[in-house]
Amino acid sequence: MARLLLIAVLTSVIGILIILYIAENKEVGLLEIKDIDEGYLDQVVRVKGTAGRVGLGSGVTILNLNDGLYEIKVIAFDNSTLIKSSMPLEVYGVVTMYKGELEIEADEIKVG
Amino acid sequence: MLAEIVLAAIGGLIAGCFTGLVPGVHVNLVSIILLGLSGFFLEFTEPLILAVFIISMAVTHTILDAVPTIFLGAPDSDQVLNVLPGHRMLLNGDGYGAVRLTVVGSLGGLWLAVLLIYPVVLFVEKIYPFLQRYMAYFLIFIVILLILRDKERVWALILFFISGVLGLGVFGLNMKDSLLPLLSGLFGTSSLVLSIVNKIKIPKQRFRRLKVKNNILFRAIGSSVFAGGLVSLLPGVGSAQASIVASQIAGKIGDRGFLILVGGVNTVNFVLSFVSLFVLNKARNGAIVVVSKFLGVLTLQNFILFIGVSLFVGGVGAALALSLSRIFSKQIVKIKYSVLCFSIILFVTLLVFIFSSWLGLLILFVSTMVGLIPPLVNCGRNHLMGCLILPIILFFLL
Repeated sequence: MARLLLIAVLTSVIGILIILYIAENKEVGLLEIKDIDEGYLDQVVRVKGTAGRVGLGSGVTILNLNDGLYEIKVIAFDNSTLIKSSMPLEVYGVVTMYKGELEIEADEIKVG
Repeated sequence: MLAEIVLAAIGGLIAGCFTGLVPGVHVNLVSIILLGLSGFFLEFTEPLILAVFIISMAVTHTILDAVPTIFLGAPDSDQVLNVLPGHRMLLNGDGYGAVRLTVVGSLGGLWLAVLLIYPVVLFVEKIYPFLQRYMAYFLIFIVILLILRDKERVWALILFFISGVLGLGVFGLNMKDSLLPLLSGLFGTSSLVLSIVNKIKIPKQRFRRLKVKNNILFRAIGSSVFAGGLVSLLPGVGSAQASIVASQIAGKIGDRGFLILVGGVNTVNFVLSFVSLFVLNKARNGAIVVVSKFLGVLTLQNFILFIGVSLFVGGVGAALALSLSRIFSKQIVKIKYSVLCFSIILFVTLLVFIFSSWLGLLILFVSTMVGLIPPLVNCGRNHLMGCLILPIILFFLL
């Protein structure tokens, strides 16, 4: 049992280090809007699409991102945006839920 | 309409038996699949019927998932703390008695939660802002209590941090369904590996009622309702953490009281989560999220219907859990336990690969290794909940 404990401890430490390394260096893959479901809650995602309706609030920009078939709401806590409707966008952010609907809290929005 | 509701409740019961008995299949998974197929189903029926199906399935699941936890040592995320006491009783020939205790907890918790639903929600609503502000300190206090309570305090501390860092790493991987390999490894496959290594043989099972003193019964059920209500409003905090809170409130209640408590918390947490949807418009678990998508706003009429469905399904599910555990008790001694354990490990590995791919397998392997440590150093497995608690503490602190 002492040997099993040693193996378990060593493998755990090495394994956790590998997971931390991968987590630190993993690129967020591009997702399709239709693939985003509750399984992605609190996860960082990257999606591409076209800006639909763009609304500005106090300190917040809300837009609908669609890929022709599917749509998701994107929230950016910044209202100094130059984003206009019909612009092609790449959004990087965290999937959250608001009033039962999935949306993306954008960390970064690239045009093009 | 009534016939459709009854049919949906019965369909949910059958589906709940499947999700509850098969290790690794969670009710959230089936709810999300149902949501994906809703376009097809809504051609034949109404959203309310699908919502009844999900409520029925989820309540049944919370009662029946004790069966694989105790007989197979393969819990889902809500039953992780149940593994050791339940398994200990199985090895004493009291697997049926252990399931019976969790069923008593589930039914007792369900009835008490329904009776106290309104005051509980009002109370939780009142303390919610305070709790949210001091959540991190509240969790740190619980962790310190748990570590000090363990005989192997140094190992308890190490295990809390090892699992916590593992949790941080896994959440940092930013992958879908990462909890499945993480919790399956820490609490499921690690138990099964040890059962194989220790060449565990399951003794002939008895069908006796395990007696519990009334004051332990009331403390276990009462604290499960309190803790279930408390955590039903907190993001990322589920039945396992509620059980930790409840066990602190209940005090010394022994293995039997603990099984009643975990059974109670599991069912209460679900029932109060749809109450919080009705009162506060907050969906706190996958099944309720799907219900809210089907129905939008939960009306008082539908809310009362869901309570009725829960009570009906709770009664039938309890009877089913007892019957099934009798069957498990008879069959488990006929099967070679190591072969059974190995088959379940293979099944869980396959599920993890399907849902979380190669990275999931890496997490499953590492978390299995971490999960092996507590029993080898005579330390409580509950410290491994650090995998969820440490990230939550840091989330509230930073």
